[in-house]
Amino acid sequence: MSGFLDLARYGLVVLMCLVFLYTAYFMGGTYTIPLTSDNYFFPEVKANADPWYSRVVTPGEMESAAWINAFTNKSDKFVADIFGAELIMGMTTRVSTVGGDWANAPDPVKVMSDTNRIYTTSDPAEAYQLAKEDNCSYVSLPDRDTFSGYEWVYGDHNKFEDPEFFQLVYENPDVKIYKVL
Amino acid sequence: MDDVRGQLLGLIKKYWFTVALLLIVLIALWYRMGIINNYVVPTYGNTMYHVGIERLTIETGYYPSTEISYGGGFPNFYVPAYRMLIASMSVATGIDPMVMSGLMTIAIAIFILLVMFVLAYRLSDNLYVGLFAAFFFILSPEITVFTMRSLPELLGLFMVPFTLYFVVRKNWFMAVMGAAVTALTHQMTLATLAAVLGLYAVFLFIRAGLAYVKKEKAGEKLKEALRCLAPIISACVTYGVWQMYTLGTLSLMGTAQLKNHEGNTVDLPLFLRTGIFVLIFFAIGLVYISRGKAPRAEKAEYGTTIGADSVLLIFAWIIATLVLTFNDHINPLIQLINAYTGGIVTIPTISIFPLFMDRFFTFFVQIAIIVAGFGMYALLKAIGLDVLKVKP
Repeated sequence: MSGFLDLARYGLVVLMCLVFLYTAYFMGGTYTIPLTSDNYFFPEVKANADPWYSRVVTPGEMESAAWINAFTNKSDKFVADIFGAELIMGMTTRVSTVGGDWANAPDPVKVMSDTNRIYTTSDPAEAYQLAKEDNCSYVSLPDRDTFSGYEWVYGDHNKFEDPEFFQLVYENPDVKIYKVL
Repeated sequence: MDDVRGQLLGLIKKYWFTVALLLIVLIALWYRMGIINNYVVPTYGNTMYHVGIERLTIETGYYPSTEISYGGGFPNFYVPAYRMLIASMSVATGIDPMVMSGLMTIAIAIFILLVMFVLAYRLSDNLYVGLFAAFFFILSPEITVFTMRSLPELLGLFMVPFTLYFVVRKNWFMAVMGAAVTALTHQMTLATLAAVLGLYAVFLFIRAGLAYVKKEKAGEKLKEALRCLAPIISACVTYGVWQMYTLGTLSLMGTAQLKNHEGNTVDLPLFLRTGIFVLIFFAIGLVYISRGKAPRAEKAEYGTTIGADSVLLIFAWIIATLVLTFNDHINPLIQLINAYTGGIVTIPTISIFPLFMDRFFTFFVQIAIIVAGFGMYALLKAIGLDVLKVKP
C-alpha cells in the first residue's frame, strides 16, 4: 500500500512539473486578470518572451552594412531610426542621429524629434535641412515602420526622390540609402 | 528480472538529480537557440549598439572614450565590463562580435541559471531547493525576457547572485571583487546590489545592537556588519573612479535617464510576468523561510538549514528590490505623509524618482525564483516525498 502511495506521489509531482512546463511553453489562451481589464497570455513564457525575439531590422538592412563599410567614410553620419541606427553602429561603427545610450548625449530629444520629422515630413527641403543641421551625409530608408523615439511610422518615402536634395546611392528590396547632397 | 529492476532503480536513484538539472539546462538552451538562429541577434534593448562599441574596441584596441550614440562625439561613460568580455571572446576566437554576443547571451543565461541554483543551495544548505529554483528559472517569463538579449544587464543578472553567494559564504575578498566587477558591468545592477547589501548591512547592525542590549556576543556581530560594508564600498568606489575618469564628475543629475525619468510602471500584468507559478511558490517559500528552525524530528534526515544570515539576506533582497521596483510610489507617499502631518514635519521628495522601475523588477524576480525553490521544497516535503529525505 505504501509502495502504491509513493508511486502516486511521484506521479503527481511529475505531472505537476509537466503541467507547469505546458503552461509556460505550449498552452495557449488569453485570460482577463481579476479586478482589471488587462489580459494575461499563455503559454506564459513564450507569449511574453517571443516578442522580444523580434529583429525589427530586415535582412536587406543587414546586407546594406557591407556596402556602408565599403563605400562610406568612418566619419560619415547617418539619418536612421533607433533600430536601423544601432544595426549600422553594430556592423560598421558609423554614427547616426539616434540610437544607443542617450544618458549624456547633448540633446537627445531634439535629434529624436529631427529624425522622426525627416521620415514623416512630405517636404524634401525640410528633411534636407534637418539632415544637414544634424551633420548627416546619408539617410537610411528601410521599407518598414521606423521608430525614432516617439512613434512607429512608415513616413513619406517619396520626398527622398527629389534630386535637388537627395541622391540614391544604394538599394535592395528592404532598404534604400540616399546621399544628402 | 529482480536484479535488472534493482539495477535500474539504483541507476535512477544515483543519477536522477543530475539528469533533472541537465533537462532544465537543456530546456533553457532550447528556448534560447533562436538568439543565434537568424541573420542578426534580437535587437530590442540596444543590443546592436553594444556590438558597435565592441567592434570599435576590437578595431582600435582601445575602449572608446567617445560615444557613437545620438550623433556621437561626447564622453562615453558606459561601464565596460560586459563589452570588454564580448570583445575579448571575439578576439580570442576570431568570431564576429555580433555572433559572439549572441553566443555569449546563451552561455551567460545558463550561468545565471546555475549561479541561482548554487545560491539557492547555499542559502538553504539543500540541493533540492537549488534544483527547484533552477526549475522556476525556466518557468519565469521575466527572467527569460532578460536572459535572451545581448545586454550588459544580462551579465549583471549573473553578477548579483554571484557576489551575494560570496557574501553568504563570508568570503569577503571575493565579495569585494564581485562587487567591483558588478560596478563595471551595469549601472542599474550596481544600484540594486548596493541597495540589497546596504539593507542587509542595516539588518546586521540592528542584530548587533540587539545582541548588545541582550549582552550576547555583540562584538562579533558588529564585525560581521562592518565586513558587509566592504563590498558596498568596493562597488561605489570602483564606479566613482570610473565616472570621474570618463566624465570628470560624480554627479549623474544631468543624464537624460534622470531628467526624463526613464522607466515603466510595474503594473499587475507586468508583475505577473514573474510567473504565475513562481509567485504562488514564492508565497509558500516565504512562509517556509519565516517559519524558522526545522522541528527536531527532522534533524536526522536531509533537510534545510536556513541560517539567520540567509533569512536576513533573502528579506533584504526582497525588500530592497521591491522598493526599487515601486519607486514611482515613493514621492506620492512622502507627499501623503507630509499632508497628514499637517506641515509639522516636511519630508523632502526625491527628485530622481520615478526611475527604471521595470528594470529593477527583474532583480526582484531573481529572488522570487529562489524563494519559490524553497516553496516547492516545502510543498513536496508536506506531501511526504521520501526522496527529499536523502541527499542526492
